[in-house]
Amino acid sequence: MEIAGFYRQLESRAKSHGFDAVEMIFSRATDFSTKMFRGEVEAYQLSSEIGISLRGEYQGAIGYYYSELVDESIIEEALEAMKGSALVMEVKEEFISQSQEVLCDDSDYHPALVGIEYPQIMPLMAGAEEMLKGGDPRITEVPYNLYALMEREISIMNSKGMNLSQKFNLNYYVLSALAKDGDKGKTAMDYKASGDPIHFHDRDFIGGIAREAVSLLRAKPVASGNYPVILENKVAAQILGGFKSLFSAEMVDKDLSLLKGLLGRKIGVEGLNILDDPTQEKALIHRKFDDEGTLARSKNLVKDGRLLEYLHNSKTSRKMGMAPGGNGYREGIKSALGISPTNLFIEPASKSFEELIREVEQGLLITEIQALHSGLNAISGDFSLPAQGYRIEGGRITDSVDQITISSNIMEVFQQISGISDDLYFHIPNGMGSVGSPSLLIEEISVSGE
Amino acid sequence: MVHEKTIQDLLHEALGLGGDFAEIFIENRFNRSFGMIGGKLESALQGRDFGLGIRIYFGLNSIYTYTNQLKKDHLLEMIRQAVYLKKNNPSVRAVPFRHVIPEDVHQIRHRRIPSEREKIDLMRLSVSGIHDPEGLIQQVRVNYIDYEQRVTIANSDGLFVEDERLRTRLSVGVSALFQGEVQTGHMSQGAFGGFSFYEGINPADLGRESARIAMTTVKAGHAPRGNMPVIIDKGFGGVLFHEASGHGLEATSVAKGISVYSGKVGTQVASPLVTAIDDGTIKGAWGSSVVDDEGTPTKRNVLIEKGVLKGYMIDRFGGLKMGEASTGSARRESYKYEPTSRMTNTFIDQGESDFDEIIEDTEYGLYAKYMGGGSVNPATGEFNFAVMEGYMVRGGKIAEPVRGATLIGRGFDVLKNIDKVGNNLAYGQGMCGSVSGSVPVNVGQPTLRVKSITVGGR
Repeated sequence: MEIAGFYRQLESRAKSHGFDAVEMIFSRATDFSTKMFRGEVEAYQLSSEIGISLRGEYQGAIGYYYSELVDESIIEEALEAMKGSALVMEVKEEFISQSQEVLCDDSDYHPALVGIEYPQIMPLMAGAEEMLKGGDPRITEVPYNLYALMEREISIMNSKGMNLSQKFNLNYYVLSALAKDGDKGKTAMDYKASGDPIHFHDRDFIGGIAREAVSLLRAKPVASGNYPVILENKVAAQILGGFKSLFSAEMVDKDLSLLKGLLGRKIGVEGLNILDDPTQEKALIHRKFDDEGTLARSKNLVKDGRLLEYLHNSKTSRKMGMAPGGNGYREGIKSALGISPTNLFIEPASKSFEELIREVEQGLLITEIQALHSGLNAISGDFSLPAQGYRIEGGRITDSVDQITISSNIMEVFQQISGISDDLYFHIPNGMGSVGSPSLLIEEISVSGE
Repeated sequence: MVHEKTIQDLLHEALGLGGDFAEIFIENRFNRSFGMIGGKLESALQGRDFGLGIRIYFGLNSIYTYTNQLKKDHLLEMIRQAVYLKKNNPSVRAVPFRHVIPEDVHQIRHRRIPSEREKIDLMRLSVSGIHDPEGLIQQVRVNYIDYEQRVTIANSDGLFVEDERLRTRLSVGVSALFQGEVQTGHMSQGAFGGFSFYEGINPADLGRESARIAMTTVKAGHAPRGNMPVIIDKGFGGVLFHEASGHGLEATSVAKGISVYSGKVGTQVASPLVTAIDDGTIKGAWGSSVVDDEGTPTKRNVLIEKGVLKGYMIDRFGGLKMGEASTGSARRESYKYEPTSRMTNTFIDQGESDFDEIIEDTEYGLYAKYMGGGSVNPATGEFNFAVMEGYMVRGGKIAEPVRGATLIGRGFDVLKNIDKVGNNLAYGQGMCGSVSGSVPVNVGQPTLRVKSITVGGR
């Protein structure tokens, strides 16, 4: 299927159907993944898919349609569907952006990943499993040993002159260990993502998972109470990611963000800086334009605890009279245009992680949380999450802790950050970017245990 | 879309390259969704999912590959690329197809197609039940979805099934603001079937209940923390069993031998009051289908009877590893996922206690009226689920409301600690995410009491 030709046909048929403008996002995904279990290939998956997501301006409103079947046979269905949805819309604020921009970016496309021979990966993964099991006799299984390589291409074309495309690839590796002692089992997991081929025989990475799983075997709950808590960088980034919609101008506009009405006001402690930066070096994806074709730019959302900006798409920036933000994204081709950060992160400070630990007399270090989809409410700001980690006593990490929950509200957390370390960490990205954070010391979080 | 002859040729090719078994899943699904906020329709999305997945077994290993470019040459090339260990077996042929047309159990073939206007009117009706005398409500969101999924499942043993699945769901979310704090309430109902489902329910209840939850919790204090008895109400409370035990009973983890329930058939794994069932055949139920995603007819599977583990939920491939037959439990979100064993409509069966009797018998504890979602680590049995609306119970009476919190525990401990099971079985509809993607599931239970569980309040 020649995609530019398909688009030209769509555009001309749309015109004769009475559309004022039409836009097509074309996406192509190529994926390889494999899972190993007990030295055997448990899963081996190869795929290639394409899809289009269309928007059409019809009688003053926007209609949507998407399809994973991309050929001429769907054009009529697409135009009728877009008309149908435009005609029932009661909110008419969205529009298709004008642009003469032509851009074709492949700076996040790593040729070193293209030549990877898939069958050569499996023995390396089996080697990692062996190394992990060999580290300690209590490690009885490696329940999860997954490698994935992904390649993405996105293009936007519209009848107002836009023609943009960007291509990227990356690979990631996820490994977990199950440690057993009698009836008690504990798992620990870690992962890494990169634009370079994954290094499997990584002693630090594997040793870290083994140590964590084994040390959690002795874990016990602590007494319920309020504790100073260090959220390890990965955990802090997960929590921030769960609340990313707070910064969306659309959620603010719809009364669904606690940050409504707080522009220019203090929402956090003095040292708290939160950025959205598509160019962030440590992150793996650097979007040049959003899903409306607006050029991406960096933003200081929170500077020294003060809220400076929300994230905008073209609809909200026009409505609120702001400069276009470049954060108009769809969660996938099936979703309507919304708002998403690119690389959203809390700026690291100068303290090392060890210095942060030394500041805590009696408290907890949280190294894993669960239930982000159910135990965290982005509208109320509340969270109540199952957690595990370690006690901190006299500035040192001591016994492991499990079967506890940590509970607070994100607005309280922003006000109670009393230490930020230098260990900025980014999660595996989605198609827009990733969420990152350094480790954070929070003065007080409610812990439910024994 | 794909000719039957092409499907047969792809299966021949897969066996010719050394596969022991091959299976093709072709999906063509049309989705519609509408979103309303503040009483106005603000999104209307429609579109088509389309693609083909092929799975090839090599002994107890499998290869899965999918695409949505369905030209025969491309499909054959894709199979050749995926088969990384080629054993040439050109003489091995797939068995000729036997066509199976599933029965129209859920009566969806002669359905009425509603207009978009009717769907939007339904959404408005759902919020008509909201009353807000104190002006606490900040925002109301309504979502409506429906889809038709047409699948063709064919395998090298000669199975050729064409099936249609039809589902619809309506959800309402309300947020309330009081003294600078926000709380939310959320309700949804869905079914396997068409629009006529809504004739049998009162959509206004969804708005009324969501609003009541938000308005109640926004004025409530925090849930307590620590261990205490918890009474979990009927319906979506079934998320307790789904997380605490259900996932651990899927062949997905049992076949690997890593589930805490591996090798425990015939042993007491729960309180004798607990009988638990997974039933993919319930007429019109959200998690039902006539055949599963490997083409096996769905069944009613007794998992636990009076506390004793009776069996697991098994897909064809998982069954091969376990030496057992499929229980009709293979599911997947779409052609983009290799199927594996999953829950359908899973519930703890009817017990004997009256609701009032359970409350009266509780000196102190938490009454969890509505639940949110949850999750579990099947290798350790550690699970969690969220309470959306709760009340304290003091001296055998329901006392003040409390806000949501997460409850945590280990599956074994919690199921053994169930000491009351009510007689008011009901179901709730949810989406369950796991290795083969996000699939619609019913959870269900009567009101029940757990002697002690950790409540993650403040």
